[in-house]
Amino acid sequence: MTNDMNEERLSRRRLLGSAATLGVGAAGLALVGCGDDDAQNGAVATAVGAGPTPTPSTEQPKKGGVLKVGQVADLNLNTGFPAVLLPQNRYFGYSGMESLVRYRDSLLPENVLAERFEYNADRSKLTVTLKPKVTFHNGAKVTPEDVFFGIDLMLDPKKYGVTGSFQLVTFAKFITDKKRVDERTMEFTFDKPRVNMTDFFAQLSVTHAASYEDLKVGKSVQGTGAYMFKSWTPNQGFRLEPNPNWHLTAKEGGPYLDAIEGKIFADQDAMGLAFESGDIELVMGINGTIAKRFRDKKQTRLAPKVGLAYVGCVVTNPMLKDKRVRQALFLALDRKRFAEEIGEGFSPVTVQPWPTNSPAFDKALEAPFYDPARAKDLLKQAGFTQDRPLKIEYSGTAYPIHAPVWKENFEAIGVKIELVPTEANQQTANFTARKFTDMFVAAHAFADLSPLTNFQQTFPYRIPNISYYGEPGGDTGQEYVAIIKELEGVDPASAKAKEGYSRFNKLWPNEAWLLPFQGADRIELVGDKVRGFGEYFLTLSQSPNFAKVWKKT
Amino acid sequence: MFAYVLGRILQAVPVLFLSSIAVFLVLRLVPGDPAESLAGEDATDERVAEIRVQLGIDQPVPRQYITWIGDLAQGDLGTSFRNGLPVSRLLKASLPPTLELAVVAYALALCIGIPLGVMAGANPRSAWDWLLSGYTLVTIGIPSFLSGILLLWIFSVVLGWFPTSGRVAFTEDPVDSLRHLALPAFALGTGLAAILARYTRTAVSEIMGHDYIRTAKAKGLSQRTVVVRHALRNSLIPIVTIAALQVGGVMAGAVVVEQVFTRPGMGRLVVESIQNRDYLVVQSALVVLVTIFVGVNLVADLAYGFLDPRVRRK
Repeated sequence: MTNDMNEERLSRRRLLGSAATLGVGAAGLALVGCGDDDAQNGAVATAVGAGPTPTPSTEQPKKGGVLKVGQVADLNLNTGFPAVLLPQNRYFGYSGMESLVRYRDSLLPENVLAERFEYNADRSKLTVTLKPKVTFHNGAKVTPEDVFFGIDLMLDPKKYGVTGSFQLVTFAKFITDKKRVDERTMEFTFDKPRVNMTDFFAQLSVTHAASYEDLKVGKSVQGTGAYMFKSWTPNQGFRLEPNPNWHLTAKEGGPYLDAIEGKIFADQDAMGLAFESGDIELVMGINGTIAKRFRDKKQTRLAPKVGLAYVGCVVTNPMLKDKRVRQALFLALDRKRFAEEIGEGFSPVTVQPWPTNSPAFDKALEAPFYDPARAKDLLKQAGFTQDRPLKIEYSGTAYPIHAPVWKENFEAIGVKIELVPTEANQQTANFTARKFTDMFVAAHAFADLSPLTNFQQTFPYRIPNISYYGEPGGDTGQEYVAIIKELEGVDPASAKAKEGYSRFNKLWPNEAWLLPFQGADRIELVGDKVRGFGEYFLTLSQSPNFAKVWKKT
Repeated sequence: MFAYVLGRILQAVPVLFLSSIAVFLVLRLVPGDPAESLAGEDATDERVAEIRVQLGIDQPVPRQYITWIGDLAQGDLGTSFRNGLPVSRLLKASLPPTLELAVVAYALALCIGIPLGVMAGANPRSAWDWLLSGYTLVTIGIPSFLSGILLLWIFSVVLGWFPTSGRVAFTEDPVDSLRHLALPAFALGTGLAAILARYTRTAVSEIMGHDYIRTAKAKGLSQRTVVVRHALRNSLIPIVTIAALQVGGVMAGAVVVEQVFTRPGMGRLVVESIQNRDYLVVQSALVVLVTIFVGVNLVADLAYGFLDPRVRRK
């Protein structure tokens, strides 16, 4: 009997139900280091799944009004912002920060701060010219040094007193030389031809280097975007005000609001109550259980997918080393239940990392891959035995209602499980120290960028972390490493690249080092008076276009 | 009197010192390394070690304590591990909301608890006594977090009379400030009032059986004069004791109530800082709270001297 689960895919597709789930938006994806112009395509990325509140075409945006928004953690500007975009910093990150280029709804870059963004023929060098007269919110001109600063910050955070690390550092290290040509032009040289460096620059928000010390303590946070950082009272809230000199006003319209006021909540339940009472009008990231209360009022939407929530396997563990065991676990998860019961039907049943706009998107992976009978058979073939239950370590606050279902699903095929709820802080520490014993739970993002970027940048896919997956020298690892190597040399949209994506999509459920159970989607609550909310940019991490948001009075 | 006050203040010093050691050590017993947590999943071992040095937690624990207590003595509370802000700024932002809540809740507790306790104690098995029993049953039976959620649902979400969350400074907008305070103070104060009323009832009821009360009544004094001037005054020492001890209850209750009403006070600051292993913030915040508690109990000790001349003379 073959172990190739791809053979099963077509037959399983019939099991694909209607929309499925989510509840992991609330799990607080730490979107680390993410990062636009003159739109050439101008299309609008529309959310799927939930009731959207797009601007009806008959309504014209009006200026004025304060948009009250909520979030559950306080701002944290000292751990690498803006090169690290934690969920708690996302309102300013999305509305106030900009990068040299951005992706709107496809991987075709459009210029934002850059007037010219050109690679040489083999893509080992990049020349960027900044737009003339673009200034930070404090009036200082944007210079090449400000762009260089963001890169230096990632390479040497200690020098700048930052207590964190940067996911984008992988790419920063590819830059072997950066040179100022004139007051607007700069040149970057890479260690070798690099096909996906635009992803890096699209995620690199540019801040004013000279005022970085003030940024860290929230005194003066400088960007170039539609809204300016006005004030912050720790543990209470923040206020953003419109940038009167925004360089993209003519193109995007706006900013229309008098201010965006953020309130910090103790938990999601309190935030849901505040939304229900009208105290706040916008929430980005709430769990399905709370969001379902607002679905009938058409106040929910789902931001485009960025990745997956998964149970990861420590495959060097003897009990998980045999890929048939991992395949069995992959097939044991009842994803329809996760989608419909836990996620309240907000996002679809899927095992696929890729969103629909990705060149790697594979329709066959939009299926439950749920087959307990085959799972039991695979365990039998592998001769699976346990001298102790397998531990699943997870954040007790992020996944309290998912955990019993993992246990029930795995035990249904005869695998004994011990749930180990861990405090979120301890879970992060365990990730850093690579301390997990058997299995661990997390969610990842960035699958909406070039697939190669996902492999190079995202934690569970990166080669240095392949210890969870197998030795790079092992047979399974070799195939994965070979795919990445091939992708490094070809255009991400080429036929050759697509062949590589296809190979990965076959390898993915077969090797099953990650066991996806839900999409890592972001459910949003949008009040009735909020208009113009619903257009997203791929970078930074599916950021709504706040310049177009206005309030009906 | 001066020696009495001085003696009480000097007694508070070792309490504060021992509390600081306890707070410092307990935090370090909680699993979880702030550096690993801050560093994030992408950090190398070298980067984690660098962050430890940046935070000063690479030093031996006794040295960390000496450094902290030395800085604290000079008024330097340090910097938050998590967001790099001065701890003094965080406390300055968080202390007023908690103090407002505590003061209003406490005032509410006193205003409800003492009169109700006195009436029930002076009139045992009367309607007042039954009222107190019913009130105690309801308010102590329903924990503050649950009453808070019920209050939020009815008065904020359904009726829309009060905001669901946040805080406005009294100096900024007194009316809005009170709107934000009303529900949390009610949720916190009513439970405390029940405890206070129970103790007051017992104390007054006991005093009402004494000979001098009978004598006062025999002299033809009105019931009101007998209760207020003779019974209540002589019941005050146990009432002051329990009222002072309740300050700890107010502070502990504020932690829960601030979470329910998303009030940005010390409770939320401490809870979030414990979750983030933000040692310096937790240590400083707890020292401030312990100091307040010790301070209030010191005032209570001094009040004994005022209320009972025998204590002063001792």
